[in-house]
Amino acid sequence: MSRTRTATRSASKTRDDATAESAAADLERYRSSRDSQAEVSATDDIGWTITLGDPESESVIEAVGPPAPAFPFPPVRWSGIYRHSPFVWPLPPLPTVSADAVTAAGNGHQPGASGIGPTPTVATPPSGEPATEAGFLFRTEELRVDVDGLFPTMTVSGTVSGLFTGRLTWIARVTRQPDGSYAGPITYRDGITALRPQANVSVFLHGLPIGPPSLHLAEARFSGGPAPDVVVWYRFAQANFRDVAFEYDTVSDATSVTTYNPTSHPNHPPSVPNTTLSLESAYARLGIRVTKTGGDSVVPIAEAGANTTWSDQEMHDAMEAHWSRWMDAPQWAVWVLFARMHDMGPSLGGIMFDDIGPAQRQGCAIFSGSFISQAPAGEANPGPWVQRMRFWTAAHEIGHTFNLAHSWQESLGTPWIPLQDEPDALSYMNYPFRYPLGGTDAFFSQFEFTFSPNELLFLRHAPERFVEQGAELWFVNHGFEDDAFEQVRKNSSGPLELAARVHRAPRYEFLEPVVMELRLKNTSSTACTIDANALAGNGVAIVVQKEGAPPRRWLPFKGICAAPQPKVLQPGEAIYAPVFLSASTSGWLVSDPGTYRIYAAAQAGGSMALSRPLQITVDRPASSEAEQLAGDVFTRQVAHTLAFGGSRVLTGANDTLREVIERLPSSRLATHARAALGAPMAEAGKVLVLAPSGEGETIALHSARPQEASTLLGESLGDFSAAADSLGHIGVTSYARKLATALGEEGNTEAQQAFVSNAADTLASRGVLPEVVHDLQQSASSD
Amino acid sequence: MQKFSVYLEDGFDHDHVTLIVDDQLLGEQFDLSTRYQIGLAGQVDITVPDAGPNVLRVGLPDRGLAAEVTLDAASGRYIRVNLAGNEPVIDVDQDPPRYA
Repeated sequence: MSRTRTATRSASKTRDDATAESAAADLERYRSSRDSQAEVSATDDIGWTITLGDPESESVIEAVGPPAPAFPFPPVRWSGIYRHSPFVWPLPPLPTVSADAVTAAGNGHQPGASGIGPTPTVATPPSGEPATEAGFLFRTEELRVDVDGLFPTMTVSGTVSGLFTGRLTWIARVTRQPDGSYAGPITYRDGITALRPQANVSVFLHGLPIGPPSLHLAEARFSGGPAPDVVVWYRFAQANFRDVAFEYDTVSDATSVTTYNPTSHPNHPPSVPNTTLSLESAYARLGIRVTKTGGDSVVPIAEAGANTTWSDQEMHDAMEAHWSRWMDAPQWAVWVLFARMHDMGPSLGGIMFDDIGPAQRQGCAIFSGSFISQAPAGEANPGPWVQRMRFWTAAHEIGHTFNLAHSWQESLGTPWIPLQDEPDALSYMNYPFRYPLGGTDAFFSQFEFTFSPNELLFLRHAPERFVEQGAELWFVNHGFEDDAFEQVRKNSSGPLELAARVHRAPRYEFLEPVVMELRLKNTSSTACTIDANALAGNGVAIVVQKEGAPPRRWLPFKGICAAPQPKVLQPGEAIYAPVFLSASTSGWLVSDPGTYRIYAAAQAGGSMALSRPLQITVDRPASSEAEQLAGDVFTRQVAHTLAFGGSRVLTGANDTLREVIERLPSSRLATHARAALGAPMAEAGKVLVLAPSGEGETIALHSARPQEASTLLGESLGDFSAAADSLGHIGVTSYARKLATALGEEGNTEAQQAFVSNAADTLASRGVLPEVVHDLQQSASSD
Repeated sequence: MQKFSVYLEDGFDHDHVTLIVDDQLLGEQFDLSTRYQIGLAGQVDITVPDAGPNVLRVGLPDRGLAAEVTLDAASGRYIRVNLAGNEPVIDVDQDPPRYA
């Protein structure tokens, strides 16, 4: 395999030596051809250009690449995002290679017949974590390779996201090595350094020079520093570094400009693409894939008020009213308003107006009645001049939504890395009319419709929360990320969908236990096999985070140790499990008033499913009685008793629950308390009894006490719908069976039938599965 | 009377800014901060007598900073003030400044 690469290199050098001038001409033709192709294909993907040949320098790399007429295939581009996940590994499993093989492999080398690389050995988990460790399982890694294509920054960066280990973004500036790898020191870290503590990274890119980029693999060796070397394999995922949605709306008295051909004005550098750029393709060619949303709505000028000019607040109001994606939260989306005039008058060509509220940088505006539409006196091409200024302004303002500062202000505010001002940058983020080396004409004579290298580094590699619209505040870390869970969730794919949900408004009384339901559903079109205990064993991970507090992992009071029980889930089928969320082995997780977010993940059927976060609110105490009881309720014994649906032995907890019933009789906790006290009495049960001497154990049989059970359960489930709200569908159904049993034991058939009928109707009306309702009805009739 | 427009641009951070011409306070801004997305903190129009010379003193009293410029309509009616390296720098333009 390395021989193939060497042959390519040798042949390239021979050609260079023999026909240097011709190659240079070819290069120019190639570059022109490449750039032209780039614009056309850029919106959907940027998978083009070339990375074959001599590794000595980037220019030579391009020069030795065959010009289009002599090479039947489009050139290969390696840059983009590669992903590693223990759950999305291709089959057969990706190999890890020996040190020798690593040294021999290189960019563009021919992989083995398997198409997946050199000699397979054992895959190495990231950071040397054992593959069975839960933190590793709920973890993904992303590698961003930026070494070719248009305006490469010669950077390799990565994000490590672990559900329980946090998140790290690291960045390395790399150079191409003689062995074909891209290597350099890791010079930037944001997050948990321990996730990737090595000092250096070296990346080999594997794949065929033809064929789809999806077959490309990246092999990253992390070395040096305080941790052992580790090799991680990544599979190519996408050519673009970010995905964002643009939406354009235009005020009824304004003109919008979203396209421009850089050659339409004669003053331009020869290298600009001779094709019409849209705002979408202008960003796509730089590695930011754009999806256009919305229907280009017309915003009535009346919304600007009587003065017909726009204030920032008026534009923000219009954004909320007209943007189909409006949400006061981080999202990769931008709203662009084309208006005529800002309140500031014609001196303001455009503005990123959204520095309002917690989620900023989501909206910008371009003013067609401002100076950008006033070509200078004597301008020979006023039409293209104005079109160019309007297009530049739109791209510039959108740049601000990515948290890019003006070129001459980059050192100000809170830069994400130490930055120098770049007043003479030929960037969308500079003012052409303040270009210090000659003003507007000089600027556009050299402007290649791009950002500066520092800005491209930020756009492509900075931690997500710094860049994503609505995340970090404007001008803070300009130039960071939703949480690790969201990153893992976005990168997870598979046939299963996990939902963490409650069948009620997610607002809880103080002291009320929170019971959540997990549903794992096959959303694919084919059957899949899972472990029937997938939601009950260690395959489930739940995190509870109170607003303003660190996240805490929910761990169940009981574990299941059983051989897998294969269960076939047909398309649309699901399994369900209740979760007593309030408390776990680590204590009470949901107790104080406030807002909580719950994240759940499950591994099943060879894939991972992550739920959307569930948000709940716990109200303030409604009475001093509730406050006084809190200390007795928030104990481990009470947690155990409520979580297990009652106890025959935890007498202290039972005493507390009786006190709750007495002092807070109408509270929702009392509903739980009556159920937990009544359920154990509905049936006979065994109790392990230790001899007083501590030696010896006996099993005692506790008889059923149906009358007491039916009284307590009857009171708990009297308002069955309210009980279902608080106990959850699975819990209330279980308690309903026990009450039906107790009523049957009492011989109170009439009450039993009435109760079961009402309960079944209620459950059915709440959308509970028909078979569950039927089983409840059957359980009554069988008693 | 002559009218001038003063544009307070980059570098302002919750500043108190005074505009004084010949010992007369013609403009004052409190808690002035640059909006970095347009590179502008605020704009103040001032009117001075035709008879000069009129010397504009831009002061940041809380920072102990000040800079002066002689107002001359022929040189330009648009006064741009930037804090560069913690010093006020004044530029005079004949055309209104542009922002985006």
